[in-house]
Amino acid sequence: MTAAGVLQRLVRAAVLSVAVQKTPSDAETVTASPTRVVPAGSRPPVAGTNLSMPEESSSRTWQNMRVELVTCHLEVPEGPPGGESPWVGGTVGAYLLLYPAASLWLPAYVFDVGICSPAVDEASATLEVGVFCELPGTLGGNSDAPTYVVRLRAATAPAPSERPRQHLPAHPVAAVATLSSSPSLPQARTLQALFDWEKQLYTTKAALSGLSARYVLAVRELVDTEAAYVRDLHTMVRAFIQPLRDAAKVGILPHLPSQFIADTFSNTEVLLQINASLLQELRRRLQGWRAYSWRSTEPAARMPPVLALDDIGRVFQSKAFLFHLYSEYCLNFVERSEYLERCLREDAALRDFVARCEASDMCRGERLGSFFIKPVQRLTRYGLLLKQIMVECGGRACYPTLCEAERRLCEIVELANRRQEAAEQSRALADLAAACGFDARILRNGRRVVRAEHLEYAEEAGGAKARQSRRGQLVLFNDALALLRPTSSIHGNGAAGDKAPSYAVAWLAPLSRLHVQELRNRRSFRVCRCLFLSGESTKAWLDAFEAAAERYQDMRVENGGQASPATHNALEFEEARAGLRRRRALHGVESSSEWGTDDETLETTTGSSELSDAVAGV
Amino acid sequence: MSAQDFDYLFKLLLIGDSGVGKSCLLLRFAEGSFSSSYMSTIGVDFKIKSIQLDDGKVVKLQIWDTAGQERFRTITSSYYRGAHGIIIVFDVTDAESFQNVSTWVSEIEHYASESVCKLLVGNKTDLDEQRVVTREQAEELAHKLNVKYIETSAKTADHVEEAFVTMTKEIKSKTGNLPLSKGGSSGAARSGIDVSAAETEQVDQGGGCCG
Repeated sequence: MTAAGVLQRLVRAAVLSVAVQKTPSDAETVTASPTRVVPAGSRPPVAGTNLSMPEESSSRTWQNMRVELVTCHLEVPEGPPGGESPWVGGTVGAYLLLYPAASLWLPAYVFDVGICSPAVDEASATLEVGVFCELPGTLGGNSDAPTYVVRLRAATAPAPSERPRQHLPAHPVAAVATLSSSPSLPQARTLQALFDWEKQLYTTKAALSGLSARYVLAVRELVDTEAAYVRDLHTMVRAFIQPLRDAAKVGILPHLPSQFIADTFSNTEVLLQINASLLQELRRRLQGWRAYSWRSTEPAARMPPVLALDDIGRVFQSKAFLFHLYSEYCLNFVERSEYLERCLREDAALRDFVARCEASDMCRGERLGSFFIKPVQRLTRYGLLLKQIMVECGGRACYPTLCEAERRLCEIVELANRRQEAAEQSRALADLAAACGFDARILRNGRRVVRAEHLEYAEEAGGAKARQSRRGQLVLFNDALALLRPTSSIHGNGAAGDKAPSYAVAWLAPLSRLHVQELRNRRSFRVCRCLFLSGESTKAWLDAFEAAAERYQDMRVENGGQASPATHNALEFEEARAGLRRRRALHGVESSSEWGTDDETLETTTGSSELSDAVAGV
Repeated sequence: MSAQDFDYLFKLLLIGDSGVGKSCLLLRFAEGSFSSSYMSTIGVDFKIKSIQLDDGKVVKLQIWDTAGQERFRTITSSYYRGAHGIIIVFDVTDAESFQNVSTWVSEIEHYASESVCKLLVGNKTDLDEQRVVTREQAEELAHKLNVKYIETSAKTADHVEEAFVTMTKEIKSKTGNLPLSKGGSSGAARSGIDVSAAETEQVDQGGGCCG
């Protein structure tokens, strides 16, 4: 110890408006032992400082004070002595000093940064620092409520001019052409300054407890963004759902469907509960993280054996199953938004009411639509936030738990994604069935639309006559292929904005008995005695066929063995393509104006000008 | 009550592969800062920034970031609804992210409204020595997709503003002369509501508002 000296450093100073408040429940205990503000045994780092203890009367009043963040470093003149010392060259103390403007040499308060938990409250532009003093009964920092709450905000009056460094740090103003949005520029600057303070306090505290600052900031980001998210959910419930429900009850919105809230907002209220409790747990971990200034120089530092910060992964693990409720929210998100839009369009009273809700201060200028999507967005963010903590935790013991939590959350999102996908697919199938007059052949359990496109096609009916090409919708399901013929218009131009197209099923063939052949020009293919002029999308179609046929491929191998595939019962475009490639090699790639000799159907179809065009285009 | 300080409100969306710098672009544009390693980009839901165009009109941009959702395409598709403009970002040092542009475009075609404006952005031009996608390649693709192409660097702020301004101008010219607010001539509380109502109608034409 004798070799080491203590170096003091002023990290940050500013004049801010300060209010120090003692938590009422702890008031008696604190007055009983007022010296608890600074950990016992440590001397105030500023020379000649007397600690004046907070008075009961001074709490809650705002006062301009100079706020200083001072750190103490151990200075070891000749390298680390012995090497086993736990505190070599590190930060050993960090203090937040509050000087009343009148007596600049005597701090009114000295708080140990190691037991502070700062958080910026954006709404009131205040930095709230909770000070968690160790009270006699609560060893190990278990108390949830801070002993002191120090609130910092922009100075109310111009800063005293004696000391130039007292001004808030200047921040670059945005580019000339850009205007700031809400909040206004000076307010935004104050906020930024408070955020800087907060970040600095965290960084200092991290240095004090030997943690990487980035790890701490990653955790803080998770907690901060969670708080913002919970606030948004609150807004959804308090500014929209509850007023709507009340309004419907008293009859202000007579045309509101009875299930409107449930049909549009889904389980938002449940999500709010889940995330409010998650936030509480996370906050507890962040606040439960204590480091002690000065005393950490002693070998037996009274640090808790497990840092509360390392519990983040466990918190998520214990709550992961609740996130399954998110998939309900995501599931019919698109439908619900469409429904909401329709209601807003049709019901003027509702539109007016929602607009009023949006104008409330709680919404901060955001529209209902933006709140609506936030749960979807937040769900996918957890993985990223946890991964960031994982990266920054630098091989701490909590790493496996974090990994596990991240994995489980990703699984849940994956599941939500799949469920939404499935819902979307069944909706597409239902739409298609409706367009076909609910043809019984379309709807099948487990069927989904893989690919659908309006294509020009020609039927290869009996004789070898020139035939007209027509337009129809070719739909590839995961288990079948169907051709839908438009029934309404004569020259059904699918691209035109037809309001409600209706179709008749020309044919529907199960994939297991399908024979697809790509034609030589590579711009058309043949299936089920129909020739499709798919042009550019030919490759995409064939790829889709191949992908869809894969599951039948296995069946084929099972049935007939590898040597002799049951060709009549399988897709053959693989072979067909191979055959084409062979023939192309023989005849030369360029000579594609003739059809192959074994493709008699192709020869006969060249009468159609469309087809000739398609051929010539190769 | 910030309803009156803008003439237009556009919703933009940033999509593209993971790690191409979507969040950094957003942060650079909205806050004028770049963080190559420090987080604070992850938790961002959206950023709001107002810009003034040459004609004096103030456009409020609400820019949504889809970081972290690249794997979950169906979930991401929820965002496409109601977006006025979609910026497809790729990384000029990552060939795969460039190849995936067409996939993203097909997602847009599938989910977004037809009138949505698109813009292709090649990011990370500051890493010139690691560059694998040439400007010509990107321009060719952009031409094929019939979209504009801009190269940016979120790190050096090169052309970042230009990208967003280009997008904004395009949306503005596409939506025509349908200002969402009439300049706030009426009383404060009332006009806030009027703006919202007018906006709802306007956006409905564009294919839905509540995305």
